[in-house]
Amino acid sequence: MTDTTRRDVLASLAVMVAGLWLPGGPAADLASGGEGDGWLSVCMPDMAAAGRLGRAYLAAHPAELDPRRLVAELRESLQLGAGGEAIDTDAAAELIIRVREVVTQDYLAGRVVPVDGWVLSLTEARLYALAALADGDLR
Amino acid sequence: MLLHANVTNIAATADARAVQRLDIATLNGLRHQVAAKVFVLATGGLENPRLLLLSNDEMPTGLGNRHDLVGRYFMEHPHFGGLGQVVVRDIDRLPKIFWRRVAVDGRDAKASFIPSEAFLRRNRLLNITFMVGNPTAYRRGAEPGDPDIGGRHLDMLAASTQLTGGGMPGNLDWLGSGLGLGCACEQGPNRESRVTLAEERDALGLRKIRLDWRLSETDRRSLVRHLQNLATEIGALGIGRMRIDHEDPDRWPDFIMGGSHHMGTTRMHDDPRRGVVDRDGRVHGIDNLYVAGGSVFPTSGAANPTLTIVALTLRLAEHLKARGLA
Repeated sequence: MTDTTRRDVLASLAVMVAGLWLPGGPAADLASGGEGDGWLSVCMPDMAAAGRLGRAYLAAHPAELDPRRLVAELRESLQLGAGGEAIDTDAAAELIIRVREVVTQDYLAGRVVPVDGWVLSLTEARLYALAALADGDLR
Repeated sequence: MLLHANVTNIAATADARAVQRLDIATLNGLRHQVAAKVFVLATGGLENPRLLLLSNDEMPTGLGNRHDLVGRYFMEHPHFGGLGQVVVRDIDRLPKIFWRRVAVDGRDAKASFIPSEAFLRRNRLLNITFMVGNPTAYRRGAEPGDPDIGGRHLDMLAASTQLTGGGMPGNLDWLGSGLGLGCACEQGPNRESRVTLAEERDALGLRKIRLDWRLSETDRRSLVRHLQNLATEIGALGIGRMRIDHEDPDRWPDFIMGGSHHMGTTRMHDDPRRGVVDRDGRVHGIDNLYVAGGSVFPTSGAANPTLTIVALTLRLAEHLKARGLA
């Protein structure tokens, strides 16, 4: 991944995070360095493993190699920014709960995709894809 | 009880409405005949039709085969191993009886995953049982035993720790467990799946069995749908993640194994044009010939057939007793 693309990913993540925690909530704390790596690592502490799955997803869905589109899709599925609600408790825990709920809903609604044989929630697969893009190595 | 006595022919009356005797032979050349009031053929889903087909003195197509049904509708339970794998963050989310034999009332028992009847009816699917094997434990930084399977398990567990929850308190290196997945499928009745007689003969000079076991698209589609459904359920319940290692859902896996559950070849039906035996297990049109065993099953289900065979046999015994024949 080029530096420009990486900056796009991180900038998109920052926008995504800001949409969830308005205004000036814990997003800045989570997005260490103000760019979103921290946010992603809350959901996926092992970015390398997540990235490997994400690369498999992106290989099968090359249209989602566009980080802005990927972030937009995630914003929609996670309903980020819709209400702009502030979270005044443990933001990381709230975020994880939100993601788990959406992932569960994906499974229940049949929004699943095969990723290297694994049957994954679409939201989950896109999070892994984002990890792959943030990682920058798409080999 | 006569041991080492092989029935070579079921001899019928000239009108083929009753059995007169059994012709028997031994491998060392002895020949005998056995007469009785009633005869129960109970030699399994392959030999039952074979004996009926071989017994063609009075009926050229074989006893009970007036409507070309003997040997047809052969069913097995296709068994598959290695079609999928499951990783779970917290093995205790799965009751132990699913992944280990557990003593229940003094006997070893192991549970399977089965779809609900409502799901089967709603989706018009055949039945299936899924079983998982012994769990392999995974810890962060540990080398997987099998770099391909283990590596994939490790990645999936490590990537999804926050999404599935669980884990082992106090052990941050704990990632979870991987379990192999196997299944046994119901096969739908298929007229073209059948037992016939081969030209080759056995040591007693009798024609051997030729088996043409045929699975259908309905059988395959049902398996694929169940795999997908189980994977989705495991994800929805937050137990873990499942992978399907069957790359082409439009084809059968390369290796299909039966369960030695041979069924359907003398199927039961009230209508002689649709079944070889009636609801009592009596061969249609032959007053004193009965069949017991999995060959009378009109459908196969997905569970092992033994308990159903025993139940039907007890039922047959009651019937014979009521007729004063036992």
